[in-house]
Amino acid sequence: MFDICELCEPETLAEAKAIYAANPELKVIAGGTDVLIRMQHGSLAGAGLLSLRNIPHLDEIEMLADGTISVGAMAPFTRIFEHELIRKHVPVLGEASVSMGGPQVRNIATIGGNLCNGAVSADSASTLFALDALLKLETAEGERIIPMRDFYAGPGKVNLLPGELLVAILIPREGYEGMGGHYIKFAPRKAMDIATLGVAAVCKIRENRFVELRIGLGVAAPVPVRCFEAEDYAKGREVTWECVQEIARLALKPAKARSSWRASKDYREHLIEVLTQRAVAEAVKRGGGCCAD
Amino acid sequence: MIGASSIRKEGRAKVLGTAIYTDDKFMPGALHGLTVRSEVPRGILRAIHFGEGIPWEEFTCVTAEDIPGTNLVASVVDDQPFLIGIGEEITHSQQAVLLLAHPDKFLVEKARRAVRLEIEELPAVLDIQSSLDLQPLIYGTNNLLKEIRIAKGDPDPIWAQAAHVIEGEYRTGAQEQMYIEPNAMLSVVEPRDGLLQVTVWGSLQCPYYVHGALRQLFGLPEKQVRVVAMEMGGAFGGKEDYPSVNGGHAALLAWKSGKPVRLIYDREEDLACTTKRHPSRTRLRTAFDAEGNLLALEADFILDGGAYATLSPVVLSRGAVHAASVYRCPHVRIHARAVATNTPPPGAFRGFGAPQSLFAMERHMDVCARKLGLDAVELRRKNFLHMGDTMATGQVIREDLDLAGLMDQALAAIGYRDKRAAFALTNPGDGPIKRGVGFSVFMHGCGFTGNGESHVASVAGVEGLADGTVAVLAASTEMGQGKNTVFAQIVAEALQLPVELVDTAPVDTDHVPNSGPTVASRSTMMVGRILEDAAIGFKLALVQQGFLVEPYTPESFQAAVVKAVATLGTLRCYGQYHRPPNIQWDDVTYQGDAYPTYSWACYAAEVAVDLDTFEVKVADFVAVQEVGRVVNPTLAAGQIEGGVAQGIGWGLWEEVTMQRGRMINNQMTNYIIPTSVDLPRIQVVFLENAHAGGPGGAKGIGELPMDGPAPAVVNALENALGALRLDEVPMTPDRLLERCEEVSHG
Repeated sequence: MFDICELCEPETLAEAKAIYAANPELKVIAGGTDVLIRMQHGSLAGAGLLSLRNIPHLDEIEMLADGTISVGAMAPFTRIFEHELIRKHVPVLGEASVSMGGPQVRNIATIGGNLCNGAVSADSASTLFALDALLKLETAEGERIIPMRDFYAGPGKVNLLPGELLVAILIPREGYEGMGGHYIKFAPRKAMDIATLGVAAVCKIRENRFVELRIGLGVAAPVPVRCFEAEDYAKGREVTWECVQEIARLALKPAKARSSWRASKDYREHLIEVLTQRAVAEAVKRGGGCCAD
Repeated sequence: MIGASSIRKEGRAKVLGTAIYTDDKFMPGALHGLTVRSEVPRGILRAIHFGEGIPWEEFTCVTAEDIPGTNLVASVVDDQPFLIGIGEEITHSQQAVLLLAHPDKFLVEKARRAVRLEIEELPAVLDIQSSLDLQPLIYGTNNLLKEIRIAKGDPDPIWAQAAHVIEGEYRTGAQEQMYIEPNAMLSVVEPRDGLLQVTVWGSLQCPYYVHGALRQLFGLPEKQVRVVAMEMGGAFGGKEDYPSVNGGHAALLAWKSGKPVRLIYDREEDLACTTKRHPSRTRLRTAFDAEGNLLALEADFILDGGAYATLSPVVLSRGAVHAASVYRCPHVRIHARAVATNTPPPGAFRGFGAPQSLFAMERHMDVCARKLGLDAVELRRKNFLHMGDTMATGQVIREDLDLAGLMDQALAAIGYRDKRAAFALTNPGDGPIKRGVGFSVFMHGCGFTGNGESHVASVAGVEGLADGTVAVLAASTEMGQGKNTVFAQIVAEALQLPVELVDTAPVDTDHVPNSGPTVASRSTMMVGRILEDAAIGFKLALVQQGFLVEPYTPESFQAAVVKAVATLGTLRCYGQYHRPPNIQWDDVTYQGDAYPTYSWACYAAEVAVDLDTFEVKVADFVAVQEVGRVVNPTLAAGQIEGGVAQGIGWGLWEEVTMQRGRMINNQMTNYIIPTSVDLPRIQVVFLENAHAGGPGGAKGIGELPMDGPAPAVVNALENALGALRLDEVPMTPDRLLERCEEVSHG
């Protein structure tokens, strides 16, 4: 039983956008695994809901003509990690997807909801940061496409305009092609838990040198972050264990770890360093490189 | 019957979803109740303000002034009010001040938010040390809820003579029971035949505790109060004492409104305000001779008892009696105190004080072995209790106890020697993973401590039904532990019937006698034994009155019962507890037989520590125990596995984080209990050594598995990482990092 004053269930995207434009105070609900908890806590008590569940095709995963992989905002995590295209081209996103919650949560929770909820611990966010993903946002007026890193505005806050819906996540060909990747979710419990830290690394290796490296961190700062300094350092360098260690040290730069009752600042910073080492080393291996001492 | 894994009696209904839990009970027109609580740890309640925008005239509101009887929850000590009145002292952050009820569940929640409490705040005591320092004085004359001293011999002259004196301090944290079903109550109060009749249906372990609390709250005689235990989704002690509080609250709302009232906690309220395991601090001082024989033991055992006594006196008592653990020691002094703090009162939780003092002692034995340069196995072997030895309370071991054999079996099962040797070779390597294996040896007293059983003088019985089957009459409740099944097996065995012909009568105080609370690992051993007597008496009565001729078949027995019921009407036979003459206890000196018997165990754990992340994985676990005769092997193994899971959780992850006397991680998402993927294979071994006191030779089993896992896991950590200050649970990654840094920084 939830304290819901109104539930709109449009059948088409156009209808949804029109309702939302006319009623921007509505709360959008996708899988409901975050929204319903907030309703129960009382922070959304009595809210009107705009459900996207009856809109066809919003959960589709496909490859566009230019090689971009488009993941519909309503795609649940189970579908993402089981999907052929994801397995073949972006396995790191599958890895992040399967680390989320437990089977029941993954069956209903959507990637769009995970992002729009704005949680810094979102398992998909740090990976999409590392993949240089874009977000397709639509209002009744039109659409815009923005990079992931422009989406997060602060803890629990995202840059969505009134009446704007996240429709799809776009992973451009250059974001994933020929890249090895690895996502590490660090949490006290091995299932049904929220990340204490999330580290996603993707890299392209040629002749055991970094052609490109991208690192996304979750829960290292108030919003997910990219580690540009570490990435620039890696470019062109030979893969060695020393190099990976230096990358991990530089990965601390954008982090703004703080103490909370979940973990102390010292412990978080320690984790960022050692888990970045592990994530990069594994991404290198999957990208065909080797970082032996 | 006894010794067979009979199918769980209520299992089918639970699996099919037809079992009726409290919130499932159909009750037309029921109001939704809610509790308004103080949010400060200590202060004087000056006023209650009812905010605007709420149709207050539609609400039922109950304050302390409304209470018809005594505003004190009946418990060991009657010190806890049901509700705090204006001008009275608030003593913890979850103190109930006002009760609300309304037909609209959402409106009652809005109303709760609209209430503003005007409180004059007072300085609060939030930890053990501040309470001991009387900073400030908050309870009685010394902040002590209970103090116990146990003495054997005289340790004082020993310290100077002994070859080695080793001291240590150990701490354990609070722990939540995390039953699946949060606390829930439903109440109707209405006149019947001109008299007020108070009825409560609920998720509760001890119907007669709630019954007693309601009688005191309303000032009513026995007959006018009725308590019914509904199907229960777990309890672990968490529904032992608290139901007297929320049962009272539900009944007050039902009485004032004249309507049925549901008072169902959600998870967050349940975690924030209901009882937990007592946090503890234990200081141990031990003296050994040159060979490692234990000469003297001094224990200063302290529990954080929260704002009211609740069950702290008896939790402390069990913890104190277990403090000297399984070792023979000529000179023992135990000083145990439960101190008051301005935190929600802790209460019963599986183990009941013993896991705290046993963690200290079993960690301390490993620390002593290291300091003495002895093997932890051999140090224990030298000092184990044997038949004829006396424990700290002077209790003489009368059974043929073989703790060394128990220990050897557990160590062999986990491959202790081989693993220690292998890890000694691999751990010095560069890799971040370090491995270790450790163990604990311990006991758990079966049944109540001391004279508890004599005080309760439990009654239980059997009833012949019109269809010729037999019903068990006992107030013991089914909380998932298997009571329904085990009682049926015991009665079926006594009557030589198939277990299908015996079932449990609904646990309703109008219908079943007081077989005592469902606690203290006592149901199978104590109530089971009374049922065995009652069943035999029932059969003899049938024979004597000519309904039954021995030998009989199940069919002829059934026919006899049908005929007897048709002839005589109600057909019941009761049994009652009588203290065996060889069991003596003195409550004043704490000397004598603290328990009729003990279950004994050795648990061994293998851990892998990741020194990059300081995560600990329990890789393997062996639980070997001697619990008398096992009545139902499947249910018993389930009890052990569940207890081990809870014990590992307490040792590694489960942390109640308090801020200003409030639990702030009061959700399942941030109070971390392990899932199946976080736990190892748990190998359960029962050594059966029939005990004369229990039915078919059974002893208690429910709490035992909670005692051993935490010290076994932390001892394994020491094996993996070397000498660190591993003196506390939960040993979270953060704490482990801190302990490792202490060593690397010298």
